[in-house]
Amino acid sequence: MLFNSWTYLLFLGLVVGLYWALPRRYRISLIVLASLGFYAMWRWEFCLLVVFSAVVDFVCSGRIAGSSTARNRKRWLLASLVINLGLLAFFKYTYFAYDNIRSLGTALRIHLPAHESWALKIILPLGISFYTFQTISYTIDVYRGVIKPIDRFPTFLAYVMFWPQLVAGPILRCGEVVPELLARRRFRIDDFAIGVQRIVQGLFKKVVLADSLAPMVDYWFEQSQAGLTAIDVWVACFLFGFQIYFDFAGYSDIAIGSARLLGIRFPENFDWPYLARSPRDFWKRWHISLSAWIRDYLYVPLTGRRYQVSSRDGIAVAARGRVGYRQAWALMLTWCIMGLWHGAAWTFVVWGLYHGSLVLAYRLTPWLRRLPERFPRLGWLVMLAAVMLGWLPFRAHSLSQACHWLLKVINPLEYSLSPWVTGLSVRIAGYSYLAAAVLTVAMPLWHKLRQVGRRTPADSPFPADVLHAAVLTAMVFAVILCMQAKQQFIYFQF
Amino acid sequence: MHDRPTSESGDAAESRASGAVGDPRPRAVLSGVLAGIALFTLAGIRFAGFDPAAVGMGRNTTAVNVESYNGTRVYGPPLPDVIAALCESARALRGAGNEVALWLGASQLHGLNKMKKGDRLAVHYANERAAGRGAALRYLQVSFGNANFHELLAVYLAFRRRGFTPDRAVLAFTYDDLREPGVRPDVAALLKAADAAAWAGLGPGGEQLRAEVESNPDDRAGSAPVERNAASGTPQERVEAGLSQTLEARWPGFRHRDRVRAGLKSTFTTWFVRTFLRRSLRPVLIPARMQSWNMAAFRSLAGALEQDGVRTLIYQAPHRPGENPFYHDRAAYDAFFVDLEAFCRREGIAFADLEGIVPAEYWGYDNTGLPDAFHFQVEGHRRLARAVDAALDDLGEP
Repeated sequence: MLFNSWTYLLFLGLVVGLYWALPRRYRISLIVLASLGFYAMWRWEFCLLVVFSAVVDFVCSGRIAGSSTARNRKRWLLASLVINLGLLAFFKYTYFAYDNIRSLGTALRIHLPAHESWALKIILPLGISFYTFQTISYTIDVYRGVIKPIDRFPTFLAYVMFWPQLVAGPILRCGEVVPELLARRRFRIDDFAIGVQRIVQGLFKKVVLADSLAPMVDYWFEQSQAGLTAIDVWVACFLFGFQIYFDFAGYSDIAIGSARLLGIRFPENFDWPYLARSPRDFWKRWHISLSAWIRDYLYVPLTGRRYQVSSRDGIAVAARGRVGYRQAWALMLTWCIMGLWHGAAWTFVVWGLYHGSLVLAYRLTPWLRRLPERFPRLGWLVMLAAVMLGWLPFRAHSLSQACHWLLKVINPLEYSLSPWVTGLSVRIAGYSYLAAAVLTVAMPLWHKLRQVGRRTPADSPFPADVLHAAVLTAMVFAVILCMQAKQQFIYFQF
Repeated sequence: MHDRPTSESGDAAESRASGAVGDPRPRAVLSGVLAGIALFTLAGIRFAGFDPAAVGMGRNTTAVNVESYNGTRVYGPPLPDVIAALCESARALRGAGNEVALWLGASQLHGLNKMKKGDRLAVHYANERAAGRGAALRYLQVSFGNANFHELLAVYLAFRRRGFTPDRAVLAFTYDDLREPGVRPDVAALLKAADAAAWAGLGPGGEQLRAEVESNPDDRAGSAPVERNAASGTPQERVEAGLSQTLEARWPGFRHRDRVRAGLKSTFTTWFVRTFLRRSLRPVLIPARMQSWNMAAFRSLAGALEQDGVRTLIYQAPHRPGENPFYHDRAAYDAFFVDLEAFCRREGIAFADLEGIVPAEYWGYDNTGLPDAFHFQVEGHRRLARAVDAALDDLGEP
């Protein structure tokens, strides 16, 4: 089910109402049924897949905890990993793997049919990348002894399928969710208000901001590269950077807000990522739960460092200290997988490696490492440009498009205003330049205003309540005006 | 370094209590949400009677995608299947003993202002007129929005690749389109994998076009297909449609949300245009390099037509008479067409000045509510057809 729809708001109202009306002992069952219904509004048959995945991990983790030998424990862990990752690989990477084999075959003059001719049509289940990682984290945490296995399957299923974070995260640890699900709590108006505010904020980011940027981004990435200037490329990168941020952060806001309506607190998943001054800082702010997952279940095992037990702080807390050969290749492998997790295409791998290279470059280069401290504003600008340029392979249709565009960026002769803009040929081109400039300036200003607002004294002529209400009024108005359940969230396709 | 990060909700990470510093209070949230709904409802009531057409908004100009004459397809956009279909039409028309004229241009040829049932495009009326005067001449048309000369050259070469060259060619020359850069991917795709012979003898314009075509990214290899719309064909789609209907029936503000959008857009657009642009959203600024880039392609196209023995007519496209907001420098516009006419005379190409053939009453608004200087009503199509067919008639037999 799409969050940006009247259906979801109705669903949420009904479920929240029932949650607080029912006795506590029925709440877990309600969450399970609601989550199944939420997922079934997309395709009911894929509910079976999620349940199957949950059954596998429930059984495996129980066997891990009950095993007396390390060998058995490892076997059950491997079974869980093989099944879960096998499902993920099948649904997400079969076409990708086959297309690459086919390309290799073509080079060797072996002609294989295109996968479009197959009778089997593989549909990517919504959220498979997210819930697979979530269940894997549970099994590994049981294996590590961080948590005890959950003894009731409905509770475990509620953790896996909890609808606010089912299809696009945050990817949360069992220890962060299950105590919240099981906690005794009464309805608190403060939690409810915060939840509503987060949902409105999330919808505003998605349906007003992200969906307004989408046509501009689509326009630029459909142009032939010969007609583009380097400034066009930068504008397109910035616009997509803002689009994906508003889209994904909007989703996270709605997820966090929806859980908050039930009194359940999720950790934050975004923290003003475009104010970061270094790659470490960026990965403490962007998709924090995924970054933390990668840290604890991939990077840390590869480097032998100590893992964390929460989905906070991102990978940055582990990526520090001296960079030896082991750390360097672990970093690059980690980011390669991070890129591949986002999509079955080499463009995503390049994006991942690009960010891995940025992290490595900052760690290995003393003056870069000191740049954020000595020259904070310059550090911010450099990081902003680097991150936005990094979106190029992420959004490009192909590696060749990404390469062509990158060549323009590094060629000083390509820096001129677009003929579409100077000739006012295409309105969307001019609006794109304006939107990119406004958003880049507005973002740090808005952050500053929020900080000032939080320090506003109680007897200020503009009390915070009035400002909050005014902002919410405008957001609600804009959301109702713009909401159409047609534009799915970008991260739904990962 | 930056301050200790605080979350976007304002929650300080270490605070577990509700109502942490920066969180909105329930009364603020409740009043904000209710006020937003009320404001929207009021806006819906305010704009309930707003008629976008009255201020020229909405679909004033319709882009027509298909046109036929006597059951034969005679027009389409520059797509491979359309080119193929028009080649078939050409074969059929020649088989019936007709000469075929290929008419190339931009959206004026397929845009109909204030379209009513039964209105047809100029290409249809031109065929009608030619048949009516007993001429063994029929017209086929390819046109697309803001077509520049590299794109028109590409379309002509696409026909050539399929073994079709027309007996006559009609090229619409719209001054504004001299500023249009690039070759759109659909058009570039018409010439993908064209062999060297296709590009031979075209000159600088042809070389530029070839560079554009070969640099166009059409490889999407490596992208695994993902079902991209999570709501299409799902139970949610059906529920959403039902909910929307219910909301429209019971909530006046929601029912009129399209009018609210149109009204707000009209207000903003009018203010923005009048404040910053004063006359138009599209003043003509033709960068010199774009003009010369397009003219190189035009010369290549003219050369290719001459090479193929095609008798060509170029015409200066009709513009909205009277108030003419589009030319900052009317002198430059006039001088350009004087030069173009001289060029045509030198090269033996027929030239017709059709700028003023469509009177003011046959123009309207564009889809943003501003006077449309390019797209006329059906009477304009009839007059254009008459003028073009008369000009070709004047060319005489080959």
